[in-house]
Amino acid sequence: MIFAFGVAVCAFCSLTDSTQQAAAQTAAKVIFDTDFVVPPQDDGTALVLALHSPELNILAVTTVAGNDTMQRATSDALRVLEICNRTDIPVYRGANRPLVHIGSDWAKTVHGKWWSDEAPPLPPGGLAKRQAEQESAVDFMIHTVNSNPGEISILAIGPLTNVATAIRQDPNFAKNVKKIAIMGGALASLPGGGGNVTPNAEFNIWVDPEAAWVVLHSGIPLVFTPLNVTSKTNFSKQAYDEIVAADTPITRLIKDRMGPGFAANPNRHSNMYDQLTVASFIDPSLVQAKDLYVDVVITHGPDYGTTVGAAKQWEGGEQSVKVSWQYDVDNERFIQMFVNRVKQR
Amino acid sequence: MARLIPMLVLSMMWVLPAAVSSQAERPKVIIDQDARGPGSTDMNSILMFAQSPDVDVLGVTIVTGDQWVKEETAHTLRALEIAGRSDIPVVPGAEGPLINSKDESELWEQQFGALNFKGAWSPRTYHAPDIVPEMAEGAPTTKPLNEHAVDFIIRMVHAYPGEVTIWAGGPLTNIALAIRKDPAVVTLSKELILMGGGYNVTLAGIQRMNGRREFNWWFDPEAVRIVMSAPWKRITITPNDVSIKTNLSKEIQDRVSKVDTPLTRYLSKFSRSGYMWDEIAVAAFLDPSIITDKRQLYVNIDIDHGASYGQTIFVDKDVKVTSWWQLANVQFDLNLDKFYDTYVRLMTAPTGAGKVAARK
Repeated sequence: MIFAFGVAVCAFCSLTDSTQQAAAQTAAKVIFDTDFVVPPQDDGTALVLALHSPELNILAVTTVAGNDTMQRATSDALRVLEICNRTDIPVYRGANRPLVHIGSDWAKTVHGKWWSDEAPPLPPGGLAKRQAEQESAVDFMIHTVNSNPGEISILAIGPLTNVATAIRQDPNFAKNVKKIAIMGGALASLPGGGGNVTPNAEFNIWVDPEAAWVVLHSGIPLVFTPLNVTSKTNFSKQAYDEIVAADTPITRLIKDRMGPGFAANPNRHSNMYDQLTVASFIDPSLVQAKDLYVDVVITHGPDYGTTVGAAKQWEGGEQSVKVSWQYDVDNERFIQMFVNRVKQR
Repeated sequence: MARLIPMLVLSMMWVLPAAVSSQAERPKVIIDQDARGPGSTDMNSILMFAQSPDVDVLGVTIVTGDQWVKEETAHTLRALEIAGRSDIPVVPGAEGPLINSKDESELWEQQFGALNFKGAWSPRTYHAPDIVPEMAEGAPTTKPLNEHAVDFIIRMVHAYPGEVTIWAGGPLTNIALAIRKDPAVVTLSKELILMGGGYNVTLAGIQRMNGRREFNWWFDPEAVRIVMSAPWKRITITPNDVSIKTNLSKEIQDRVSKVDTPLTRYLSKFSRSGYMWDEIAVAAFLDPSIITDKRQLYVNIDIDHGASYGQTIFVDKDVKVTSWWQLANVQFDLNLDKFYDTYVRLMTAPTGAGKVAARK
């Protein structure tokens, strides 16, 4: 079924890449774990990219608190799946709080809905007809991964609370996960490594540093799409125009949500975060990555939630873990891939 | 709260089991334990509850701490078989703490010196989590419930809203995972009771001195932070401070051995002299008058990964603190005679004395 879908897509799309056809035959089973909000939030268009990628067999979307509440992530994801005509993909509700991090007054002023259960705003066009599954995200992850050992990867583009909870609840889970692609982190030792919430911390890791610790030390192969690489991406009005020219149900939503920003400032450029995480999972040749020893600060001080890393372990970093850390990107090729897929019907 | 039944009525109830107070009146308890076996303070607490006609034990949820969850589960199943209480479900839980690890503890020891007790990570007795070493008390024939402790806790508090006491005698990993998975566990449960932490005591810590570095809390500090920052209706704590006033002496052990039941034979064989810990938290639940000094304090734990990682922190109740501190009722002294009497009375009761006739 995936193969047929892949062939059908390729018949209509401008890409005739034989690599894509081959990839569709061995589609990677993934769980899409997200603190989802509709575009322009990066999770929004990252999901659209994933839905239009025959290399991925998306088993489910699991939601977590981060950008906004878990409740909003759930209702927004259901709605986007409906607009994209992918109601075959179930949505499972996950954690509404990070493990340890308690929301401060300051946090609430900077993208702080992760410490809330307030009723979400209606998604564009209203709530989807379909509802989320009854089972929890963690339970779904555990039994799905354990019954397909070594086959399932996780695209983790929000705080890592759900993944960490699965690892800690079930002792077999970690060794059965194939790989996790993480949008998160920033290394000050590399260019573009300043933080985007506190001075040195990246938002996803900062919301739940303890969860990041658990995932880091789990033994699961990890690939990070951190601020070091996302800071080298560039999404411009030109790319936006090409997407909305396609005039599909989802590009109309993108136009409604992102149009005003570009109208006000046509020279606006933005970074791509979750979108690159998904794209580089599909095509690792889009990025450059190196193996580094990385750990996360979980002592509560000025650098809580900061990732720290180097080519070799260091004093105090004896527990650091070797991971793949992306640090550069072929932006032109990435944006082209993104645009070509998102604009597909 | 547990209904206090006069001793005379209690003894009559053993003679006439059919007259035992109806299941509906007994407080419902989930026992969350790092149930080291055979014989231990952990197992004693489970057995005291199992022997009591005044509680309805919904289940025993198991967590890694003193030993690994797999072997603890086996020891608990066997102990309950011996006590004639295999009707109580045994539910395995977390295999390890949230953040702390054997590796981290060894790095800490390199800087600050060896710890004298590390539970499942103790070098002298260390083995892999999957191994269940030979059981001197015999292997169990009964099986654990096919459900995770975390899900069992969530299911029970929803099944009996407002009624369930969560009683924790080990690291708080299962409970932390449960309340993060379903925050309603905090509001639907009746209260939280736990053995853990230390305040003004220079004994009983896991580096011998410094009772603030108490094993249960040190093993999973982040779980304690999660649990102790949640708005439970009531929190009651049995700390090291009151444990060090007790001794499971030969005299007490002999009082138990005088009565001959399968359970007392098990206790005679496996009891060791020394401080009592979890037993106090059970006795105090069944008879709060056993506690002669208790104070309300704001209580939490240090989770900075430095020299004091895992140590109890506490503040006077009249001090203004940030929102995540919770008030706890902390026990500091006890009536030793009453406590030992309760221990002996429960352990020497006829096998199955606590059994629930039928759960509706």
